[in-house]
Amino acid sequence: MISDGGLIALFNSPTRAMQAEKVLRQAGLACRLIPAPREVAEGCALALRFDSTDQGSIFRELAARDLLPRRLYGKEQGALTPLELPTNH
Amino acid sequence: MAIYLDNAATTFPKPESVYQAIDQALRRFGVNPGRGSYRLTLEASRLILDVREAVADFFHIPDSSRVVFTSNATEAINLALFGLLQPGDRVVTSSMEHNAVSRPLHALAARGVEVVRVQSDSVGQVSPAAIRKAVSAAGRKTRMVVLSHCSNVTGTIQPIGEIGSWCRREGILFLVDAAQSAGLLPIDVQTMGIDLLAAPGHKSLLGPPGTGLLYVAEGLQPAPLIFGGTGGNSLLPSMPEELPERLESGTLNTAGLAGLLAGIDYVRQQGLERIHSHKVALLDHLLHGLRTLPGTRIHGPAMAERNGSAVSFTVEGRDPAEIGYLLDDTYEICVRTGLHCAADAHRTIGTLPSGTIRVSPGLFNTPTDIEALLKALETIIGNKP
Repeated sequence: MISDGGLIALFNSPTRAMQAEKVLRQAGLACRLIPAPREVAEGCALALRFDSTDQGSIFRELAARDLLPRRLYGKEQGALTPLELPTNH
Repeated sequence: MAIYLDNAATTFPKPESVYQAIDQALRRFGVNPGRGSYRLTLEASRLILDVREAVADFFHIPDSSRVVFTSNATEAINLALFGLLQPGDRVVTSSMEHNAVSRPLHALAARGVEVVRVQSDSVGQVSPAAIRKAVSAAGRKTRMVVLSHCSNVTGTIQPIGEIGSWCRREGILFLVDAAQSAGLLPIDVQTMGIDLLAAPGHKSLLGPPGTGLLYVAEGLQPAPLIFGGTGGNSLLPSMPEELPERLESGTLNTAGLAGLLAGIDYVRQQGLERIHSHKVALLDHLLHGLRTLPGTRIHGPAMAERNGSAVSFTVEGRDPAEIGYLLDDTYEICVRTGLHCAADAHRTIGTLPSGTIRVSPGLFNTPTDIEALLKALETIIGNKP
């Protein structure tokens, strides 16, 4: 579901996740909504998956629309690691 | 084919695009939006977001997540009132309200909310000065002003922009019941100082029954009326804090909302100005005709420009119910008679207990429909029982 080098972002609500996806798609940035893995979210939640190479563009777009995620994780060597949310967009 | 003139109750027929949107949504992705993450449910969720954003854009709502979908305007009003008012709070409303406002306030009064009803004038007009006076009369703060934008009985349009701007300056919440105006008159929640806007999807927004909405301004956090699943944070025993999920438990009406989106698109294509002009022309035709009929009395502004979506009248010595029956039975003309779920309004305009005959043309009515109604009335009134 998530390859090494991939990132997932979690949002405050399912609606925020849907809004983020729409904004990014409109901006031509590749992303996909997936079920949040159990290591990062209790119960059911959506996560937005994208490639780390797009992180800068994606956060700039989301910041501009006041849609920044609540948490960010990166997958390396098969494990998801929490990442600091970028502050410079 | 029947002539339908009860669009204040719900608009009928709908644009063809509304029927098609409902059918296609139900066939193509009639799954549960916001539940799961497979592609079909995401497609349904994307549609819901599109509707939310269309509603936000239509009413100039800055953040679409503050748009909460309900099954009708009544539910939206109940959500706002029961979700925000506490015993000891003071509310100012008018004598022209629909039971969708009057009954929840009556119930809240029994729980200790102080409800002050401002009397309108004889044509149903509520003056901003009277609202200000009612607010100022008490020695304590008023929490909320609740007002219908347009009366469902007389069609009287209230000056909500002026009242809302004043409420905003005074720090008083302003709830607008837009049941008769959403999709007919311009509404801008920002410039009109509206904190809570309740609207049906199935009237002038041209969506199907079973759709409605509540706009909740940033910073307000109504308590939910209904508790249950929201599709996320399932381990949380309480309702989530975030809107719209906090106020949208249970499965949404995806097909209905698809129809609402098509309805809003249709309204946008036509343009509010054109829609309003069409209504004004039909009401003007109706009012001129009614004035020529003997014994007829018009209740309300009796000026098409100020009548919103409906005209109410009575005929001296005749029961409105009987006239409504004859219009339907003999002429297949559908109008609404009686109290229109708004006894307070009828008390105000002096038409209790038998009410009025209400005619509310819609977007698809024509002058020919009005002419047919007037001819039928002429015959009915001429043939006294």
